[in-house]
Amino acid sequence: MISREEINKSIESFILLKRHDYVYSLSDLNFLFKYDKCEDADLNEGVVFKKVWDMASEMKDGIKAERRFNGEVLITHGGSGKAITSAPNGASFHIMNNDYFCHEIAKALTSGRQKNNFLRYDFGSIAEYFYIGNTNGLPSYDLVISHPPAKCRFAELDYDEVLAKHGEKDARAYYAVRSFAFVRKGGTLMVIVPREEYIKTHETVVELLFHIEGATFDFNVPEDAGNNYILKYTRV
Amino acid sequence: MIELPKKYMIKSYQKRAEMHEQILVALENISSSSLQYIYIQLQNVEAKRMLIQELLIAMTDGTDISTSLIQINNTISRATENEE
Repeated sequence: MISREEINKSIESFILLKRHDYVYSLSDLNFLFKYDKCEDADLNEGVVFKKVWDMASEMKDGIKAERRFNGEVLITHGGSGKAITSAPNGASFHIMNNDYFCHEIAKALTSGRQKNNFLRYDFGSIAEYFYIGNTNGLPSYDLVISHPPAKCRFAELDYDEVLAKHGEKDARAYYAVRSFAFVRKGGTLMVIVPREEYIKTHETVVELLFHIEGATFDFNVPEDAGNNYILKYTRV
Repeated sequence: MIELPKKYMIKSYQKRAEMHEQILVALENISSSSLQYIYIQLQNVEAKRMLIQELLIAMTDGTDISTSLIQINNTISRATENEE
């Protein structure tokens, strides 16, 4: 019996050794699908992202009957691409990933969506936009989806001392607040957090958003999505 | 968008965070009188991110940050003069 660790290592070797122009076969994709070190590994796609896209279909860019979403979407922590594989047609995605293997796996597993969605893959973290102070010309999106980790060193490098301090002890709240900076007027931020942390995270996010953004946002009652909750904030 | 080298992307998370930190320390010390073209670049968020990525690539190749900063500043300076 091959252990999980051995499977992960074998997938990492496969990614490192493949040619730059390698074309994945269906069995390759099934193999990559077994990687469980990405941030979204524990998320049940059929529950969490179904809920996310159901909620998005009620936005102005969503057309529920046609299962379409005509807006621009930022995924701050792309993981293995689960947010995209279940996405409606039409959405234009900017997918950020701060782990090389997950970045490659997300590209491989979601490339099939390219005939129905525009996909831009970007290696890095949104925290990079908040280095040194200036944020003029920050890109904006209709929908931002974030599934932040509990800890992240990059969050500690923020120019705002209050946020850098929060980033050090609670990266989830940090990324939720910084993700909101990318939401355009009328747009929405959805943050996926573990069930046991959602109240604490939600309270911290509201407090910090008020500190950073003032009264420019509205929030909904957190939505239950299995082992997780979805926090929703709209820019008014 | 700049394509980051695989050699950088496969570095450990800790190592990459350290590289970012070193770059930030160097950029924070830039003033409008020392490296003025880079200083101007830092006023726009996308240009700032591109500059950081250029520095990450140079660092991965073994070039030290101050040399890279001077080279980039000179390149932007020449490009700006040519435009004028």
